[in-house]
Amino acid sequence: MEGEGGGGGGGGGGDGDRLSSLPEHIIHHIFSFLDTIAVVKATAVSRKLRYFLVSMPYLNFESNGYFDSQSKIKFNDFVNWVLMSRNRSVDIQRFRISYFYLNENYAFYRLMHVITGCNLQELDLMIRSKDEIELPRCILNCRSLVSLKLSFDHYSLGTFPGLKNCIFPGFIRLKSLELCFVMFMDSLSLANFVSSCPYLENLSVHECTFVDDNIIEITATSLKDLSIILPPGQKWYKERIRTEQIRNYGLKIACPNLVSLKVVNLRSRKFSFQETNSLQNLFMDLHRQYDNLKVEQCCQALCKMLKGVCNVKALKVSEVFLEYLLLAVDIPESFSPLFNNLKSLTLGIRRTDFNKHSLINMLECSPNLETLNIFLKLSIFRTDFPFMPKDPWKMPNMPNGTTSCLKYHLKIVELFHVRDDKYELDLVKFFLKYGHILQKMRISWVHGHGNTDEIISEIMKFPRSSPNVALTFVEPNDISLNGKSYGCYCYA
Amino acid sequence: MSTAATADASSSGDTTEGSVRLLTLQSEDGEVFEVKETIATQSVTIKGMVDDDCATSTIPVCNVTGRTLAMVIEWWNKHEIGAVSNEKELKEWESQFDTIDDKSDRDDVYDLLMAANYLNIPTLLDCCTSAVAEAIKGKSTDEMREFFDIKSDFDEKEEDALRKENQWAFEN
Repeated sequence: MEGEGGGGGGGGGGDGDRLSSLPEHIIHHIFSFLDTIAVVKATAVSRKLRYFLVSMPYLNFESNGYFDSQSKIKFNDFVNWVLMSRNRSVDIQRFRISYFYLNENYAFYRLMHVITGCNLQELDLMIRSKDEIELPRCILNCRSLVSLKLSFDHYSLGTFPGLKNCIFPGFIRLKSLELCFVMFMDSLSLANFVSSCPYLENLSVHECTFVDDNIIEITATSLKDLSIILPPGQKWYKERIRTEQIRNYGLKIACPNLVSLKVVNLRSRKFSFQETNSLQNLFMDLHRQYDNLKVEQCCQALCKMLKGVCNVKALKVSEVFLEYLLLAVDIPESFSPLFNNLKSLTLGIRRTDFNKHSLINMLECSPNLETLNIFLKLSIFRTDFPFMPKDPWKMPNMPNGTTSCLKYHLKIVELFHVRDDKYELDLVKFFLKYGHILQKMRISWVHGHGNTDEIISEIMKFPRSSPNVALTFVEPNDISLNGKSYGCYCYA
Repeated sequence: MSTAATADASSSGDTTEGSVRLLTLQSEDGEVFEVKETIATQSVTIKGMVDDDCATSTIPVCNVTGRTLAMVIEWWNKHEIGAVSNEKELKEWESQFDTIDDKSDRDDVYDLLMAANYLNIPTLLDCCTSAVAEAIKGKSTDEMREFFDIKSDFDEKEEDALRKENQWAFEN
């Protein structure tokens, strides 16, 4: 195996160093973690390693940070040089390029023609272009693809050709599809596309727009993981798409094997989830309706949806969801939701206009909850929600002592972005007071928070129901460190 | 490291722990390990043998020393479902393989790579290859040679041509 390499490179495996003597596929595996620039440098050490550059099945180009035009041209040259010098009979397992800057789109089409001819399995492209780019046919015809990720940007949308008038053979091996800032030119193309991929398991559609459709329809039996981020309403798009249209995108999902679902920026009440009983994780970031009159209709839509998702184990929602849920409980003919399997709940709530009754209602709907994470968000603007109590934040006393989850199950509470604020401390107080078997409470301060000693000493005085709760205070900078060292103060 | 793994193997040796079968593995240098079948089948190679009913007698693990095999068994024990309570803890334990700045660490990682390759253990292979990749990151060609003890077989002219061919990459 080793002998093939490097022109006249002698050596074989015998006298060489241990790295070069590793089996070929292991060396490729090692290089697969590296940027191709690093591979070029590393393989320049000897003839034997040089061979691995031309036979690399993983190409990974990262140009993050080059912004001047000279660097962009050099980078594009480099990509071309690597492709030209490689052995074309070796398959490309993965081709990844992050930030390919295009002055003219033909450079992109040429590149795609070359790589799709190499039995390409994973394609991951992040493209910045002056103009709109129509997705080349050669990608749509690349039947070897297992994973496809296309990311454009706000100003140069990638457009997805209409599939009505052409034959799309379908991706018979595709398992994962991620699209970001792609514009679909006709209403059927996403639905048709998905139904032409019989093994698709993972689908992400982020900030995509649809020229002549308002309902995004996804029907797929193989799908396990679905993530839809709708465009935020206030952004400007190309003239073909109106902002009002974006706010009205509805959603229709029928995926019987779905495990995980994420829906962000949904403003319309036109959503329906069918056959979602297998769902385990739901992240639903509903937005407040601009037109408050539709609140009741939203509730009804939510109730319908909740019937399908009551089995979830993990739920991540915004305060709007909680408020609708609270309303839904009051509508007599509506179904009363109960999340019996729910173990983990993550909430994103606005600091000022949050209704604490909706939180208590949610806790009552989740009798077996074990972990609660609350992210406190800053309010951008204040909406006068009609049913907002005057003093929204004072946590009430629990009428019957406490709810089931606080009494028997809730073990971990984590609060993020906490500041020195009586409202937020009220939340801390509430969980310490009613969390009978609480084991861990972690409070992570908002970034740039000043002296926290006073607040900590105040919190330490709060009465506690659970005898052995560990309180941890965390600086925000340290959260991302894989949990290795928190720089925290632990109080037993 | 190796003592912990052998102790574990011997403690489970005299009992079959319910219906869990024990497999006998023999390293290249003759050391014998008894390992629960449920754990050892993290190796695709061993799983294949078990499925084909070829794992009834001692399984020789060629090219792998007892010292390395003990490390592999420790890896299996940690990666058994339910052995470690959470992902974070497992990652922390795995991080001991992350740095290979010492020559002895490097030798361990090469030994583990060969074992992971022979036994086909994807998790271990991923961990060790990524450790080597991390060590390569940010090193110039000369630093690479020194760190990995690689002798250049290019002459000065060739070396120069190599750099000029794609100067931009070497400047970055």
